[in-house]
Amino acid sequence: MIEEWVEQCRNGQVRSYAQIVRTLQHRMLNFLYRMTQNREMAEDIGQEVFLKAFRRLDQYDRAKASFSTWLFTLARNLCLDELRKRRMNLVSLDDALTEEASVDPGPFQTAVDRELETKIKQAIQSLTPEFREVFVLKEYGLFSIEEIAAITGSPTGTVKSRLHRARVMLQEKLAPMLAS
Amino acid sequence: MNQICRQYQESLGESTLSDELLRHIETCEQCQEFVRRQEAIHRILPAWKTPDFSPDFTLEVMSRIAEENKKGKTLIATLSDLFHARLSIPLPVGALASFVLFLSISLNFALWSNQPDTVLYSGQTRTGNQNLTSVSPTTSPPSEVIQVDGDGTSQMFQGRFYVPQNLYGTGAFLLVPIIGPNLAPETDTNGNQYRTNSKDDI
Repeated sequence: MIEEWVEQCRNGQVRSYAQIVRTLQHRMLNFLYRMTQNREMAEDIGQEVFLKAFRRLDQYDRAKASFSTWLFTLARNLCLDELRKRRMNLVSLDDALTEEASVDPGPFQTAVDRELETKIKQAIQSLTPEFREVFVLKEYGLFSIEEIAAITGSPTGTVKSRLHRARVMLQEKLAPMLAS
Repeated sequence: MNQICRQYQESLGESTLSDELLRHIETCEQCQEFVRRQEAIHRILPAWKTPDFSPDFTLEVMSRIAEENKKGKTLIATLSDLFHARLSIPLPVGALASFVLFLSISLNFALWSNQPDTVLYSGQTRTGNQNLTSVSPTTSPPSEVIQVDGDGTSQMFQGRFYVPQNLYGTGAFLLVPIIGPNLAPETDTNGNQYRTNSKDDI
């Protein structure tokens, strides 16, 4: 369906692009949020990604990759550029504490969930961007290894190695949470 | 960790595993522990929830597209799209390299002369009291000239290298930082460069 909308856009039907944005925005914004851990930055980068993709629609080649893979390649590159610019390596605890949980089962449960959420965020944030992106794309984005290789421009062996390394590091950091 | 353990753990999550790896997990406690921990992580990952993003996100994107279509692409956006390849070198390094290249080409054209009269070949010498006039006021005319490099890419006169004029504009500008003040070629009193087309001594 997305490929059809892309063709319609190329033929001048700009409104079809809105369908593409609506379909892919949540997955895109979730990925960007988990990389930046900042909602505003995720939305800003997300807008730039979709704008850039629209400008370069004529460069998209269906034979080489799916549109979502191509789009996420743009997103990943823009995100890493932005992170380098802002040199974001530390987690923002303020963000963690002020974000509202989408489900609120009760005060005690919320506190436990918040602590767990904070630990997970800190653990993932402590990964280098190369490990973090692979982990987020696989575990949250649900991309296959081959798709992640296409998005990151790395061989599948490298992706597997980085993913394994990220998993090992997270297991070590989250060991106390896993035990409890 | 041995090779088979690494191979298994890196393949975790793939839809198909080889028989060898399937047999391995049945007996390897280290890999079994890895799998248990990974499953535990999978159970807690959803605890990290994403916020509610702007409900107008699509509208904002489409508004910007409409605005751009009205205004037309900015020059920067056009150039960015044309040269969208991501460079691995940092921007300041690229800017400095571009400046050095621009400077070299400018110097090259500033000293361009496309009327060389003579060319010296390897082993040729010119001796005698030739009244050679230096174009550059900082250099004195040599009384003896020996070319040590026969292919014409450089000439050495009394220990100083000169760039042949006929090679200006062919990449010899790259020698500018090395040659320094010895850029100006020497000329004789008739205005000829002290090069000769003859392969004999003159």
